[in-house]
Amino acid sequence: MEQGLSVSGLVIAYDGRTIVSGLDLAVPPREIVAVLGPSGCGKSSVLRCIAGVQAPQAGTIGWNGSDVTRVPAHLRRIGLVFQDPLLFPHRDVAGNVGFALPGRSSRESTARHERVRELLDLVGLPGFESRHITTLSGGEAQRVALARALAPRPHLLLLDEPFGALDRDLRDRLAVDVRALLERERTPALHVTHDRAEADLIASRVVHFTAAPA
Amino acid sequence: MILPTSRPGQAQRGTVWAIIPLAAVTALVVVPVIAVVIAGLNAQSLSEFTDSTTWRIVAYTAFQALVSTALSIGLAMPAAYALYRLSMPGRRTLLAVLTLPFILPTVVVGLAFRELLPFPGTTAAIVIAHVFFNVGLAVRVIGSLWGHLDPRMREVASTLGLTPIHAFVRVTLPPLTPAILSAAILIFLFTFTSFGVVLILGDPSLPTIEVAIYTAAVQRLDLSEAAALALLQFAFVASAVLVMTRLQHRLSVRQQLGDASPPPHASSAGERLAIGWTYILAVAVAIPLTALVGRSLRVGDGWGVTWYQRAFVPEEATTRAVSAAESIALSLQYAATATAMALALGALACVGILAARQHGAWLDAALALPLGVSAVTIGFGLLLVSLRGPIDMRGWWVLVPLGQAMVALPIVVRVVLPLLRSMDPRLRHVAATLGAPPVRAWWATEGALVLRAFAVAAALAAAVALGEFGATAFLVRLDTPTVPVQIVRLLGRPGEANTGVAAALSVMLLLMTILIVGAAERLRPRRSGGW
Repeated sequence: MEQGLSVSGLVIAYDGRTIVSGLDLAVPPREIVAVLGPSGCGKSSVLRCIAGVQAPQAGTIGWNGSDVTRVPAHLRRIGLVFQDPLLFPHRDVAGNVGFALPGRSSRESTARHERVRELLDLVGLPGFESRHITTLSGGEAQRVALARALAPRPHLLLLDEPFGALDRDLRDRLAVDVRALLERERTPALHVTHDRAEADLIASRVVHFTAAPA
Repeated sequence: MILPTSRPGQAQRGTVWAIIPLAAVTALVVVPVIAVVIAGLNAQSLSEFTDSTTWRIVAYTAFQALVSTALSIGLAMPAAYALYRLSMPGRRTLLAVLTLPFILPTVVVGLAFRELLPFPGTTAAIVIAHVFFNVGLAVRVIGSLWGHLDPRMREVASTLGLTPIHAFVRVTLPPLTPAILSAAILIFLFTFTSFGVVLILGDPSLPTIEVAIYTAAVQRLDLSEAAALALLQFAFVASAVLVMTRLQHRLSVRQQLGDASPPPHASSAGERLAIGWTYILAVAVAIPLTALVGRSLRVGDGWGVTWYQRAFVPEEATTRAVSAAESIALSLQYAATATAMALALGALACVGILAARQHGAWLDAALALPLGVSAVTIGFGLLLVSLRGPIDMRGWWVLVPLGQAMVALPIVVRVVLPLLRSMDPRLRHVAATLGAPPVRAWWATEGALVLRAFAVAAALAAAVALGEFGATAFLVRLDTPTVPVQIVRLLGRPGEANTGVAAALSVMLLLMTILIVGAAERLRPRRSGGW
């Protein structure tokens, strides 16, 4: 049954201060939804709960009709691209992109090389395999992070203001690229941003968040 | 101390100040080692190298050191995570309790475990005592890097589908490896050359190199065997450090360390286990010390302060009976002198290392030499020099604090140097632009910090000198023992009274050490790095 992501009644609080109270949200299959909202309204926390790296105080997170609220992050197959690229410093570009792919046997290893090459082509960094990550620019590093998140073919990709630190020009170009990329990989996505133009460029639907009343 | 601020990269005139501590290390560590080497290269001691007993001693020393190192690090990992990554009640106290053993005199710890463990005189006893000593060091060295790793890296790994265990092995461990190896090098050095603990807790028929040097040189007066062993030990320690430093360099990861983020509360079962483990570890560290205090107060079937009274007024009519007041006064006098020497040399060394800029690493390594040469070798070498050198220095009391100062010097440098390095000269410039005269500008920005760092260094140096046993055992005169030497001497004699008085002396030494370091720890600037 294909229903995509459905979040209902989500409550998130830090130290007794509620920042998200009773959020309902749905991402249908194959769709890219953008979430717009001011900083501090809990957008990142919502993504963290959906990815499973943080537990909500209340509410349920469903995937294709089954409740995954208690499923640990590594079993959810939901990718998350953070604001910073957070590339693994002890791996080169190929090592980062292929990080989650099996590579024990020679057949797996060949398949991994193939997938890494394909993804680097897709994010516009062909031939970057053996580059050390400290030699990448901010935009390049974020593209590698995107390729890394897509490599294990997640059911859903979450993007947490991934271009927040980049300049305007680069941001627009990347937004267009990402949209093409997600459509090609047939991966639904939830994209958080505070930039209206970016949201319009990338998403088929835009959802607005407002700050929780204090 | 005004720090050099001009052109980067070039060695500056201040480097010459390092000549004085370098000369001291040469005279008091290098020359004695050479003396040991020369004495070790005669025909008789060469035969020691082919003796299977010698190699059995070397193998056993390496074995117990490796096991102790691996266990210390393995047991420290969950605690390092809990203390530096999670918020938990009593964090500062726990850290203090876990670090306490590191500053304790080895003979005190040896005695505490002899009283506590049902199986003294075994390898297990040695290893347990070594872990007790070093687990806090491992927690600090590993934890302080762990606290700066980005916790989101692990989250990235889990969203990529890695199980928590795989995420730990493939994402957390690689950037932690340099810190783990640093801790491992230090702990291996300490346990490979450990003396007091092995002497008191070990199986006499299964000595380590350090103990074998001591028994050969002091008890059997077999200088050639002692020299051969000291030479082997030096070679082994030097190559071990070299290999591990290479490995550390190769495995080190260029990474940006974030600011330590506010630690979250435990959220998983594993994290709650890590916190529980930290409390267990702290209790386990407190147990032997409690046992020691208990032993010092147990008289026959009852309790009392008899052993404390007896320590001050020795009852036996033997000529060797020394009052506790006497040996405490002597210990304090030696420790004060050694501390002054170590501080003066350490200050000059820091100025020299900073002025030498990128060549400072060499100076730093040369001055850390006493860490790599065991205390027994230093003491034994100094003894050889004083026996065979041009001047007859036997019985010079100043040799004792000089030997202790050499053992304390690397610690002074390690406490003060990171603070001096981390200071931003712009702070001083800001103060100057605000109209402060140079001296006041220096005092307001750097002076107070520098003074505090020296206070902490002084306390650690005093604690090391006060409890120092390896070098002191060779250099001290029989009629004027320091407290640790007196404790070991008492333990060598039979009878409940001797053990009781030794325990009482140990508790007094323990209290002095805790008081000195505790006072300085209150002054310690937070997050200054180093030890």
